[in-house]
Amino acid sequence: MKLNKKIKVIIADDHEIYRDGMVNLLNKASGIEIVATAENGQELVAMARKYTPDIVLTDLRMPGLDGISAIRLIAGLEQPIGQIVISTYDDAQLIGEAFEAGALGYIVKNADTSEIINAIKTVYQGKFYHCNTSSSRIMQTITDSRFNPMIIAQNRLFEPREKDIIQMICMENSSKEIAKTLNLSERSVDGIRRRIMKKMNVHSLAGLTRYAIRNKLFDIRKFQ
Amino acid sequence: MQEPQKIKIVIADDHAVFRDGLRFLIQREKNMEIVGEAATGRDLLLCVEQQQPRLIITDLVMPLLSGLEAIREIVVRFPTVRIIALSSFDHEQLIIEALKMGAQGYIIKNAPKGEIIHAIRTVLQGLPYYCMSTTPDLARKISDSDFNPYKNKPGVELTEAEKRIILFLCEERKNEEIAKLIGMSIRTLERMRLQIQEKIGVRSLAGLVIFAVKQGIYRIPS
Repeated sequence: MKLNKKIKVIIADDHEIYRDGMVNLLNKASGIEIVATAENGQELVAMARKYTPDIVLTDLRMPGLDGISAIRLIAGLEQPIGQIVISTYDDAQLIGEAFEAGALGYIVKNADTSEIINAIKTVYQGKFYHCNTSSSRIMQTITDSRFNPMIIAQNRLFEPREKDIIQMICMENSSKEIAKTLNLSERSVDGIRRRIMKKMNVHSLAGLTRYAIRNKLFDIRKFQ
Repeated sequence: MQEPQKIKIVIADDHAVFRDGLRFLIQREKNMEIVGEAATGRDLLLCVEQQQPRLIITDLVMPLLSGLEAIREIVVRFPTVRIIALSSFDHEQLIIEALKMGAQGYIIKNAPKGEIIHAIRTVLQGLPYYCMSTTPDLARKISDSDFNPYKNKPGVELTEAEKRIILFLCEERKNEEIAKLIGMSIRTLERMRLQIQEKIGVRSLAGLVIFAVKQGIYRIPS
């Protein structure tokens, strides 16, 4: 990160007064520059393509193309853009969907300036940001859910077949039983298991099970 | 030379950034000043008590006593304070509640910023203010509700021709059509339309419809 380079930000919110407030606040902050604003999802995507910002800050509730779809589209663009969603308290489900779509952080709409700046600088470094002024209820929902970006990353690591086998190993099925259920040869199952363990960087089935539970690839409640 | 008294305004919204934008906007007006800010309904009541503003602008959804609850109390305890309600586009029902409780006007938060100043000026004149982006659906609901800012006020004198024009406008006929039906030039009609709007104190079709319904000039077809 170059020292004198300002972080280029685009803000999307359907409230002009809110946008103005943001522009005022953030342009005063050192190291941050707002290069464009948008008042709905379509505009946001167009601006992102045009201005190639480092960060996008977007409200989720806007008329027209919704925030989540915009996030998804921007996540699919060539240049990497850190996306932060602005949400209200009862948006726990929506926030989760935003992460699934590619957002890296969120702040609540009544967050103050220092928090917003913190979020921008954190996500700019490629790190996940969650709001400090949020209720713990939202946090619990997100970390538990399949929307936790750390967990999503894990899920992408394994192919569907590998995930099936991980589950079955955790349920204490033998290679033979797995082979029968999946209609594979035992050799194939063992090969896949080795591949799985290599990806996990573990050396025993116990290690595999621990990894799977920790990363929510296996839900222990199913076993009880 | 003593400076003329600035109009004292209190704003309430739990979004700090929105308050900042609003404050910035209003402070630019030479004859207005913000004397208090609140992020909860409770703080709003305290501000009104302490500062005795002429007008408040308040969001309807806030923690610790909502804007609606605060309006209910303010109307009773401080009946001369004018109230403009703010709401997001997907909470229209709250606007109707606010009006029924005694707010004189409302703005939907994604309105362009110039509208806020216009709303303030309108409400200070004693007229109701309906946000320009009011949907026909909301206009209908307001018309159907108990909210009637025109009762207990001296009636607006309208000629028969003016009433006819209002009726046609409520029916969403175009200027050309109305001009033809009445038998006047389009220019004359346009001028009359502006005059009517000035007389009544509305700027939007929604406002016109609400006025017309409340005055019994027009009835919205079901």
